[in-house]
Amino acid sequence: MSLTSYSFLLYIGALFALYYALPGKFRWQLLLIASYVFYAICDLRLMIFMVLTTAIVFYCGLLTGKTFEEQNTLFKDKSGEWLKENKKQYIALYTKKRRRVLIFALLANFGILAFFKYAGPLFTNILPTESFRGLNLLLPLGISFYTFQALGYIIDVYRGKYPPDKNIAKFALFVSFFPQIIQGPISRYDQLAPQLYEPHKFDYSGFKQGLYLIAWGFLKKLVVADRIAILVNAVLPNYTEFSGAEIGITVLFFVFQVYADFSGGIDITRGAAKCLGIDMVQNFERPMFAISISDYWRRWHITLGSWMKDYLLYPVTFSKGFARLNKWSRKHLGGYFGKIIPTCLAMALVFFVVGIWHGTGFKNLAFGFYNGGLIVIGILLSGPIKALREKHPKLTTDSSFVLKALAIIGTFALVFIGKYFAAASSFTHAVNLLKATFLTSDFSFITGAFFRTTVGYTSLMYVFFGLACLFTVEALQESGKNISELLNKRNIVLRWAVYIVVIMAILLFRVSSNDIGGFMYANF
Amino acid sequence: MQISKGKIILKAAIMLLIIVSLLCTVSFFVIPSGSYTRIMMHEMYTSPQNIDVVFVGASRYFTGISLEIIDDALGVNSFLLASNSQNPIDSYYILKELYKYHSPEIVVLDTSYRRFFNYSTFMNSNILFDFFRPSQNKLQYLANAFGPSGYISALSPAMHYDIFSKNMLRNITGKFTPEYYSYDYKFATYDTGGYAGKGFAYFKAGLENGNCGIVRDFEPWDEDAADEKHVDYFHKTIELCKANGSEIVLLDLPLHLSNMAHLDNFSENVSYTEDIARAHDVDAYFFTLVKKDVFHRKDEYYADTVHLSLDGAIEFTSVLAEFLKDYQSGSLNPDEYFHSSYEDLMESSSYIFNAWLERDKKSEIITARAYHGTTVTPEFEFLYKENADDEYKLLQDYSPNAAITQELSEAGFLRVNVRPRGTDVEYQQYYESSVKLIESGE
Repeated sequence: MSLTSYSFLLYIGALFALYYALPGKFRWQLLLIASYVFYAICDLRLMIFMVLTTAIVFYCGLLTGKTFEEQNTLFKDKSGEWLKENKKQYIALYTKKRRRVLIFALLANFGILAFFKYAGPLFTNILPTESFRGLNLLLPLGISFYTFQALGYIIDVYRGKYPPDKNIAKFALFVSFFPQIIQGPISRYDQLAPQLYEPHKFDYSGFKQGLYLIAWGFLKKLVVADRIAILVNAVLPNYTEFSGAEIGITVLFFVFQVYADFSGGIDITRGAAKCLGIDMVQNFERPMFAISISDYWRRWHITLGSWMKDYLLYPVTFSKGFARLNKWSRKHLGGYFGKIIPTCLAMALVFFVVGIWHGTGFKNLAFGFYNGGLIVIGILLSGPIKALREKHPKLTTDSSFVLKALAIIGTFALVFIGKYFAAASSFTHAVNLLKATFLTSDFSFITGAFFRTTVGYTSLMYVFFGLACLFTVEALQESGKNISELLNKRNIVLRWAVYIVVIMAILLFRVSSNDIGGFMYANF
Repeated sequence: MQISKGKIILKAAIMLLIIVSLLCTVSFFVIPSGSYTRIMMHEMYTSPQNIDVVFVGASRYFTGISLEIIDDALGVNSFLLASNSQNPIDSYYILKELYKYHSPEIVVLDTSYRRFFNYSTFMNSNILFDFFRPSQNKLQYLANAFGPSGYISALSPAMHYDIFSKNMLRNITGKFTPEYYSYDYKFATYDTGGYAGKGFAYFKAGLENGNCGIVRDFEPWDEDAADEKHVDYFHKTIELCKANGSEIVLLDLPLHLSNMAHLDNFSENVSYTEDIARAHDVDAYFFTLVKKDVFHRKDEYYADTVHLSLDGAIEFTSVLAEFLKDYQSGSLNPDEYFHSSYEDLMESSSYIFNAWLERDKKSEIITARAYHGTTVTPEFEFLYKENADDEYKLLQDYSPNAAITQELSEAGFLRVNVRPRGTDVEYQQYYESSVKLIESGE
């Protein structure tokens, strides 16, 4: 059941009605049933793996919590000299127990994830056995997202951030909450779970906000992303029939397609949750307005970035090995580089993982290395840039509109190049696309025939309409305006005109054929 | 913000009403004024005379059968209930609709195998569905043809037609003329052809004789690719006709031979269709295997390599009328009309069907290609000119060599003449193109 299908709208409509009709104490159970039914409709055969992840992480959480309880009970009963002599030893003992449980949870769940994501291509490309060739494993729906979400929980429990959930049904709801199962956002237990279990009273204003988000997501996905997909699908697989400039234009549109597709799905997810009184975290913060690559990654797929930061980057940088590396690099590389080289290595590792999270194949590694490389370059240049700004205080994007515009364009250009790896089907394909684009001398696409024969002028017009809406809203938000507040200040006629235009645009401008697939990130 | 339930429901209802009204308004204007299916369905619904013979199928039917000839020859009132890419599900429901108003004695059903494949576009069904009168049959059609994802878009033409199509102005202005409401054919008439009534829409021009050109190949028959639902509805359609007392004849129309030449497994499709026919105790006939002395598949009889032109439709329908007369009288001898097999057809067709040029992407060598009968060996003559205004000069005289290896200017023009080896005609088929536009073979 796609998030943009009529059946999904019927499904959530029925759910909203039931949710608010039920007594409060039964509402979270309804959400659990609805989430499992949703998953079963989408992917019944592979649902067992979500159940397995839920069970493993839940029981590991209980075990971890038990060690904390035992530890606290022990120290409560003891005091004074005993505590002074033995506390460190017992802490180490319990930490070791917890670590074993954590390692088991990580290995088991990453193992399942790795098997589904990487086994097929691995066997096909590496092992000679004929029977493994072409092994094409179906990915359980949302496996990357619910795995990361569940593992974030167990790591937090391990760190003692909060006690484990003792109700497996409630925990199952946290893992499987249906709006987010397809493509995130990757939520944190302490942020999402209490909201899931709390019975929410119907809030008209919040419900409206939810509906706006759903409609906005539909517009982005159906009018912008799916329309651009027609162009991309026509050009990139058959790139030899097109000029380099035409390929470049297509990849440029692809940048918008990915953003509209992914953020549109997230808007629908957050909107559906909001209608139930649940606030989910933002996953995008106007990445097209980023002024640097690091700013871009702070605005793009925010929950993945923050997951990587909290559960990979910080553990690595606070590890003993990293501390030793730090010490060595300060000693041998000198002050400035000595400080930043270890950070650069840590960031490179994070982006290596981001790369392989996107999938197997050199193109995904290249994507990770490209972005990681840009981040590293940014870190290396941060010192000289800081010195330059101290010398010339007006040379900041905050104080110069021109500089800010140039920074945005420059960042976008870098993102655009990186997207070749996302758009291509393989590393070789990406290289060929890049070569064709940057060695082109044929700019005949300007005549328009290229668009007429690929996507069609009508589709192009709808795309521009959608992009105009998108960038207008985001520009307003970037300048600090709240769209809801802006609309609420207007009279009812203007407000309703805006709503009706959006709804009619979705109904009339969307791609109506079955030719366009589901959400791009649903395969992760 | 506190707001009463009643007010919320009222607001929602008003919003819904506005949206539905806007959709209805847009739907009204967006339906093509020149929709031939609109006129066709209206004529079917309002025909004062009973429809005695009905032809049901896809575009080859509605462009290939001139009903005046059928009516004169058989003394009947015939009708074409055919439409673009009509699939068996569409055929079933449109026949169900027909049976509410008419009692045809004979139903001729398109048995072209492409109808068994699922091309999954809503439009082939929408262009019929939009013009069904409201009824239970229409609801069933909606439920079975479109699937859940298509329910809403099927109900509102605004959601499945392009609003800003190139005919947008024509669509809008047409709605303000009385002719639109009197179902005047003028809206469905163009420079290239038009609607002639009772479901027959024609292409005026045929291909130039000897210059058939590149064929967009029919994909070969593949039983595994046949959509189960389409096949199921094909069976149901036959049963429907029999249950309503109609005689049913399965029939496919002749393709241009250039589109037959690569269909090596055509006989498998013939067997498949004949099995279906036998299962229902009905007859199946393949005008794709028609003999040359019965219907000569000249280039001028085809608008493209799939559809007959107006001249071709007239010529073919004369043949079809005789065929149906013989069939009705019980004196039909299929051997007089058809080759016994695809292989026999290809062996007997000892001429060149078409020719074209291809360029190899890697080596840039240009090769001439031709489809032809199996007993024919083609030979090729190449001519070249530097620009459009020049005269062609001989590049390579007639020989079995189909390839040009020398480098040619992209601005130049290349022509290939093709004839069967051992003949001395100037050419049987030719193809010319600017060198730049010669396509790769993929």
